[in-house]
Amino acid sequence: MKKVVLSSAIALVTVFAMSSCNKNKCHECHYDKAGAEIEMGEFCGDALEDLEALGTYTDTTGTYTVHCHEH
Amino acid sequence: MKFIVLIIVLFALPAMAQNQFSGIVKNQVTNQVLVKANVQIVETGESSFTDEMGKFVFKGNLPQTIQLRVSAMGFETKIVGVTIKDQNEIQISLLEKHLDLEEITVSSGITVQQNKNPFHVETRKLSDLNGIASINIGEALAKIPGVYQSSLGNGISKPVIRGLQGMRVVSLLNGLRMEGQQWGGDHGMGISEIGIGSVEVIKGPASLLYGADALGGVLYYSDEAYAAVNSRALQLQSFYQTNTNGGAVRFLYKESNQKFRWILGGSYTNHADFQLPDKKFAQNSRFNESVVKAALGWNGKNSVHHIRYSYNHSISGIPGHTHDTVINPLDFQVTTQRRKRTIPAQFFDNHYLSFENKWFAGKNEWSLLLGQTLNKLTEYDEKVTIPGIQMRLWNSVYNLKWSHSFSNSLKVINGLQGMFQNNSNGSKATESLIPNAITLDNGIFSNWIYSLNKWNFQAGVRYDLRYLKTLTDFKGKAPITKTFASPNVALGAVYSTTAFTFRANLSSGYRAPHSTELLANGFHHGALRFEIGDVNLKAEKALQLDLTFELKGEHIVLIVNPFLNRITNFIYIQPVDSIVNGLPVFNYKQVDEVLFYGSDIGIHYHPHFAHHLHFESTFSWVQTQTVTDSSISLIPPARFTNSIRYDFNIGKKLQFKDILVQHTFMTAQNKVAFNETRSPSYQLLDASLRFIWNIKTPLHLQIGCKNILNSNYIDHLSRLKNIEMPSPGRNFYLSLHFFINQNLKSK
Repeated sequence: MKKVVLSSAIALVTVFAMSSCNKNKCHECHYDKAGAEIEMGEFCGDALEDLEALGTYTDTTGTYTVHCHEH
Repeated sequence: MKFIVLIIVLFALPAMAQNQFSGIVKNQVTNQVLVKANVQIVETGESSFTDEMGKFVFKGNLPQTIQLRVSAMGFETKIVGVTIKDQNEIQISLLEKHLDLEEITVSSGITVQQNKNPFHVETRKLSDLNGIASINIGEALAKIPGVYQSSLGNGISKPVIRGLQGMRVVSLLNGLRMEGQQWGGDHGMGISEIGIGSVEVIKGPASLLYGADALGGVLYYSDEAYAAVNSRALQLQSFYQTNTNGGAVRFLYKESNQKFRWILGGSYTNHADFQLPDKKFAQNSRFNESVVKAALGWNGKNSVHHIRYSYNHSISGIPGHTHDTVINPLDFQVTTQRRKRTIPAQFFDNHYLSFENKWFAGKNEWSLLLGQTLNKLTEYDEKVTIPGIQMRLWNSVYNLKWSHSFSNSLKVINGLQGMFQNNSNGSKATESLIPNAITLDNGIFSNWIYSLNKWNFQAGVRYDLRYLKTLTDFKGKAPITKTFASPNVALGAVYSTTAFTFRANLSSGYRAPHSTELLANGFHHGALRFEIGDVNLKAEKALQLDLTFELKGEHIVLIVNPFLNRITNFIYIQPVDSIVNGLPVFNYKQVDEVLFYGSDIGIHYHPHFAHHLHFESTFSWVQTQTVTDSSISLIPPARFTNSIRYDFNIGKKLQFKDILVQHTFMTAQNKVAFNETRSPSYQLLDASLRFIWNIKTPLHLQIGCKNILNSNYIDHLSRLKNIEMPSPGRNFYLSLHFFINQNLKSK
């Protein structure tokens, strides 16, 4: 029975390890301007989330949609 | 947790009274004892192997009346009924057979040989379906006559039975109903091969035991048997294939003693983008999957209990993503194979927990299955931190059955069954495909089984009630409350001799519309379309006639299984001539009547002059007929499969076991729905070689090649057809499988 308990504990730990989220992942972001991808660099964690929540990048020439994934 | 421990202790307490029961297994013709024959008690799942004297022994708490399933390599599998009080040592004789196709079925509520079952059930061991290795369980199932797969790349595969899929196909894992947002064509099955021993397919609405909504059919997965009593077993398996530069590692540990038996398993699968026949790669078709599985079983006095849990976590890329307004399919075929996670992608988490109990008292058997499942489906479409959709589906299930044997020839199974589902959308998600909603299903059934000489009959009636309530406003539509109810019947008869079996059954079913069919109004990125529901849809009703003719000789078996399934108020999704943000618009609609008809034919020939040679051919064909003839899409074309296996069994240290060559011919599909494109025919050739390396722990080795001819084809049911993405090209694979068995000290 000890083995059952031990194995179940290992299984549970594995389950939680596998289902844990990856909040600190980083991604390269860019925006499309005049047919070209303009790199914005790497964003991580809250900064990445904030950028995606905003969804756009604005400069003097206009506002452009931001993407943080490969095409 | 305390509550669970208390329940376990309460059920385990009566496990004090001990019985002993033994027997011997012999060859019916020569009377020689059979060594290593497997004897399993059907009611408890315990098993044992015969020793050098052909003897087997069971000790512990056993029901008074049991059924033994006895099998041995090269012999027919037999079900033997035993009353332990009367006989504590029995002799069982098995008949040598070249072909043993009379598989034992459990999904029909009784454990019975297939030739005595009034309803046609296809039973397959998963190991047999993997004669040519499969990348997922859906691909393995698609080798069964009448069963196809609708796939979205390699990571997402859904079963299609006789042209019906999604909510019309009900899947059960050891009796636990699996609910995983199966209304979406792009939502995976949430089940892995690990620990699955066999699958049974009931085609059409033939089963009253698992709900009336299985208009397409039922898939019943059964776990592998526990280790034999007082033994432990470890399976280690690794698999690699060249096409996706990926593979899987799996382990399964089993141990059984007199009181407890348990299983623990896990697997990890990882595949990069698959390679096309022209050597390019399908962009973002990568996927990975992690699985944990555990089961614990024990006997009480005249009772048996199982707790089972499995967790499946997978991440599947969705090919076909672009920001371009004009889509060029060639943009999705790239020169570099990648594995790194990107978006769009679907994240699936499936938890299945069940607690199964059976109590035996003379001619009565009660069973109660309580289950809880959780399906989490998160899809990231445009942003890596903000999900496009996020759904949680909790499903609480109960299944109560009482069966009573009036005599050896008359038995009744009565039951109550139900589930409570709660679907909620994540607050962070930018889209919701279906509203927050609850559904409550309850059903009551009575199923009668009667045997008379060579005839077996089954008649059943069932009544179901579904209550659906949406909890919030959804895309401008007020919350709705709906109730659906319907009675259903199933009648079947089978006449079976050693040379011939005839089976006929008539069964009905009903399926209430899902909330997505009633209320959808938005983008479904995984399906690459904008969907609009109809709140006035009515419940579908089905009536199926299914016939089976089987001719059985010593060396040949021929099965012909025609069917006619009439579905009224059939719900379908039809494209309209409109585009929203680059995606085509589809409306849910209803047609008064659809006829699904066709046949599955199978032949297995094992020539007398070449005992090591096996020919097997199957033919599956389904057609539809409606008033408009343009509404029913995704109907699979006819399929021929031919396989030749030669058992060599030569060599000692390195044993060459067999060679298998399989040819598949899919005919063209020219009968298509409005706006659906036709599909040309294609052919596939696959082959495998199997070896056993007889070292201390035998290593089973399989090498093979799929799509040897590197055929460039798009399957009619492929969800990637709309971006003109071909299926995988030539694919070599290698599979290694260790089986380690060890006896434990008997206490």
